[in-house]
Amino acid sequence: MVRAVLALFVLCAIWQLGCSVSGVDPLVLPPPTEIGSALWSDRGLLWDALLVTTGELLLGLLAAAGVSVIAGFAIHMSTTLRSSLYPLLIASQTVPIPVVASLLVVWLGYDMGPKVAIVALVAFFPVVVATLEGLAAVSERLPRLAQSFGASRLQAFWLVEAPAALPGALAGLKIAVVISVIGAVFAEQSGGDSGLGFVIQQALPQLLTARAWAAVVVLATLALALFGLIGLAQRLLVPWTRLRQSER
Amino acid sequence: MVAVIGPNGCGKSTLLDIVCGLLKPDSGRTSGEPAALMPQQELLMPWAGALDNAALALRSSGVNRTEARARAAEWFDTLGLSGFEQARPHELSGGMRQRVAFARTLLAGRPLLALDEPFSALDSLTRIEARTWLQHTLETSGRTALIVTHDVREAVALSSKVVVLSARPASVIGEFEVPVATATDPAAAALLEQRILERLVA
Repeated sequence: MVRAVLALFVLCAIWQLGCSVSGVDPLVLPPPTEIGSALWSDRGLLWDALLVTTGELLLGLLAAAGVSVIAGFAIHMSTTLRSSLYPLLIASQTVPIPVVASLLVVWLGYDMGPKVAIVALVAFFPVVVATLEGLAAVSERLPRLAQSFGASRLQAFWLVEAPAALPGALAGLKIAVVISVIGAVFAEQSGGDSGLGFVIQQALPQLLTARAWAAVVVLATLALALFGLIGLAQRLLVPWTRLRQSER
Repeated sequence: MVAVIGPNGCGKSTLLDIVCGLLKPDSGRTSGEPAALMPQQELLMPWAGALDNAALALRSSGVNRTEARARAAEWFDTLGLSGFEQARPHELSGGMRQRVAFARTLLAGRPLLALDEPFSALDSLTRIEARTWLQHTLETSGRTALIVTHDVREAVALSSKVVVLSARPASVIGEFEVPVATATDPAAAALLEQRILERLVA
């Protein structure tokens, strides 16, 4: 953490120095000091936009997690569903988001709906794949053992397999958080009137480059915070995975 | 206690899987209630504490969590596991993991236990210790055990009857009664071990 802050500081120093030595127009590349002052002077605007984007992200990630866990269970339990649904899931990820985004705006309007849907769409895939990996990591003998002790297939699933889905889902969420930020920005830019993506889209044509960069800084901080939050959840909810890693 | 002994890969573990109802036989059938399996790898759940792992057998038959834990806890004293109820498998030693797995097998409440090389993962010192608690617990709980091993000495030391299997496809090529006297007579035990070994490699 300390090292990361230090690295960031060095990076900013080089950036600052580069700007003043090369004499590049601050409209093209604002130095960190200007971005800093934009962060402060536009704090009201950025804060409101942050709340909007955070809301979209949280709702979208929640939806993605919920759908992934259900889809993961279904695909895990049924070979028919695995062979029929899984290829479709992968195919769904190859549909370009810009196409889907424009369609969603047509279908769901300009408010929060399409943004949440796009975040969920982008986040869904890594979570479902990681959930399935988590479930697959359980020895197939374990549910059979539970069944030999008298459990039904479903009971065996709840007792010895379902808990293994959680570390997978959380690992998937970690990846999903980072890419879903891109999804949220994109969704806001394809039709919206609020959020950090919208702020960036509005700032650039007005030559408020420092404001756009300030919004980027806020976005990056948001992604980091969410990432850290999931790391914390991992530590609290699935401590055994961490311990096993440190044992190796 | 009956020991099944045979060369590697002859299907000893598969036999236990069938006896315990984990696998369906291609032909033939088993009689009676399925036995409770103690698998070769302990097959404990890495996320659950020792008590919950042992309680799995009860939870599988529909006992609620509180009661399953309470009944599992009763065995922890006997098996020298008290104080480790909340410990996850990776925090336990190999011998303790075996005991948790054994407690789980006992708690399944079946008259017949099927133990698949229960001591193969243990070092020789822990092994002797483990044999002692196994014999003691089986006697006091009045259970019968079918034990699979490839260690002739272990088979003779633990069981009252040794069944020898041939290499794949396995068939029974010998049955040896183990007289009670071998427990106190090392020479008699050694002789019997010799006879079993000869049959095994014949």
